[in-house]
Amino acid sequence: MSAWAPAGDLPSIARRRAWRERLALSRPAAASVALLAAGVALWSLSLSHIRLDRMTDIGLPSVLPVGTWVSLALVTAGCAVAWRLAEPALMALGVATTILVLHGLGVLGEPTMRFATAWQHVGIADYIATHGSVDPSIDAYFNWPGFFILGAFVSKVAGLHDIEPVARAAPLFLNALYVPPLVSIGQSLFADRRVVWLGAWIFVVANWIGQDYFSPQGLNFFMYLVVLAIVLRWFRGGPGRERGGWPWRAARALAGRARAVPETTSTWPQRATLIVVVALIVLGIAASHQLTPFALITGTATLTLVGWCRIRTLPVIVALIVGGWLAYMAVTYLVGHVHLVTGDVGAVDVTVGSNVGRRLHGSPGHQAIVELRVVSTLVLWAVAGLGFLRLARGGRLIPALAVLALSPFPLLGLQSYGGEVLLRIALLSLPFMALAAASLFVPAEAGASVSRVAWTALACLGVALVASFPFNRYGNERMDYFSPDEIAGVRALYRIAPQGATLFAGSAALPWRYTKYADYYYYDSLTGGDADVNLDDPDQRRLARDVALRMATPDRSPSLLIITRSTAAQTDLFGPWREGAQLRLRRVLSRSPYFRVAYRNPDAVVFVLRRVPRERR
Amino acid sequence: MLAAFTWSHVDRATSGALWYSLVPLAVVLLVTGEVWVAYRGARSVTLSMLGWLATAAALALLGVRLAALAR
Repeated sequence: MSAWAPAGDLPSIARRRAWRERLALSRPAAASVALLAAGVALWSLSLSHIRLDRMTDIGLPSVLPVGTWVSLALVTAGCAVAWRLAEPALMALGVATTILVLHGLGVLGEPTMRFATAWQHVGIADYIATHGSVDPSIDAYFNWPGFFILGAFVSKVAGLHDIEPVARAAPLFLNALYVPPLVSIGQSLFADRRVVWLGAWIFVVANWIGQDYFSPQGLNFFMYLVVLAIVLRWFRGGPGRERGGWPWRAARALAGRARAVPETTSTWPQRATLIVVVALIVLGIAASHQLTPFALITGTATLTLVGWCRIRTLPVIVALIVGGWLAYMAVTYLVGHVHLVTGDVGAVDVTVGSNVGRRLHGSPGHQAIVELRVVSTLVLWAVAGLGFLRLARGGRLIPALAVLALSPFPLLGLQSYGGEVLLRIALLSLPFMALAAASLFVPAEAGASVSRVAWTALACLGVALVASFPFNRYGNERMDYFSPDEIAGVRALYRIAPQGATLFAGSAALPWRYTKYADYYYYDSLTGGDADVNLDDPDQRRLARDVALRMATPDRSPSLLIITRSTAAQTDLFGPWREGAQLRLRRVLSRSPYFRVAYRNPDAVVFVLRRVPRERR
Repeated sequence: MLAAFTWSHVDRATSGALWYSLVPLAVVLLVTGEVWVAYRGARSVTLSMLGWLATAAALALLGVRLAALAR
């Protein structure tokens, strides 16, 4: 319609009326929007009442005001109403609001970027932006530098001197990014959009795993979902179209009735482009992260095996790209570290022990958080299992969903991944577990209303997931949060320390390495090396001497130690020393002749090693 | 055998380049094979054979190389 058309002509009136009808909300829809809006408003107001300095060993929940909990309840109620109406726009709004109030707590509720590793990742991107190159000899990160090169590129292109403000918002940004491919996967598997959006919501409230910070794995998880979404939407084929041996025939027998959603039609140039896009994404994944590519190999291989991936050579393509990267691009790291990469292969018991057993220690509050995390994960897996059972009993089991939920588990046999592989497996399987769990509550018949029993069960699960999220996600917040004084302390450390100095931290929970990544020798702890330090040593003189010996450098170059509120919190939470060990150390070193206090504020103190004791232990 | 032959008969730079290019070549051939399926609706026997041949050689090369790195 031309802008010169006379006002009030019939088509424009009809269009305006259609818009009015579209915008007009039914009473329940208006109630849903009102609940969500009220929840966000109350949530925003409650943020300023969080007393972060009073956190206990159970983390952020210990200082969340009542208003925050009420706002979470309001948003959950708004989501429930939206889901009952089954209106996609409203359900999407509910999911977006849930992301804001749950994942935004750590972003907008804290004055600085949380999580020490995020600061380190900023430092790697900063190094690449500053030097314009990657030095694989620095550490493992520089052998899989794709994400950091992207971060450096974005900061340069955007003209940012400091990428930290962008990195800080990563949990919000990444969780919002995960939803579209997840919904696309859901739409490829389930005809009922209530399953799809409930699955997306369960994913958001169960994703406490915390890999969605400024990290390669955070972005790679998105790319992993995109690859699977493309395969399932455009390349999953139809019943009876595949050929193959008994696994294919058995899978097709199971899948025949399950393919309620037809494959999205496409032209051959579209399919060809998508295949090339998938190959390029895989290259990006292989260049950015060590673990995700292997999950993609198992995921695409199992999908191909059950006949839900028409790009039959995709697992081989992924394996070749990953193998090629390992053998040629990551050689600098692999040489001398192969035992670290392959040492745990097949040792599932060791991996499980290091992933579960070693985490169940520390202060009582911390142990309670770890136990809650284990229970929450097991409950979700159990509900997902019931979902799979229900689908199977109704002859609607979707092999693609089942294999994708289970395909990350073989990673257990690869390596312990620093005691984190179970967490990563939980994350990689979460989208599919969430969809399976969602299917438990939705009737098999399209459009049929949800039974009262299902509603009650869903309400219980939803409340449990939302209420446990702050505990699961922010349970370690005492050490993951950094006060402005701590940031000031680290800045002072960089001001004081000359280039090439050796820098020690009380523990790894420190927001450092965000700049001058390769200019210093960094040590995350006073333990390790020839001179282990026992912070519980009752002899203060011996303790100071041991710390001085630990910090002594062979060439007498400057050596500094920083102790902050967060480094002290980490040893309080995880041990092995008694609570308050680092605060005591701070007092002891302040009085020791071996050290000089170079900087001090209420949350941080920087010590410079003044002289090395002559006596040895 | 092929690797040993080229290693002993071709100068280091050329044979190195040849083996370095094997993995990308295998990937390109496999991707091209899948694009061909998208275009014609069926696999090209020639492309498939070339793709799998290059893949087998590339995987063998990667295996040998990773084993050498492990030592």
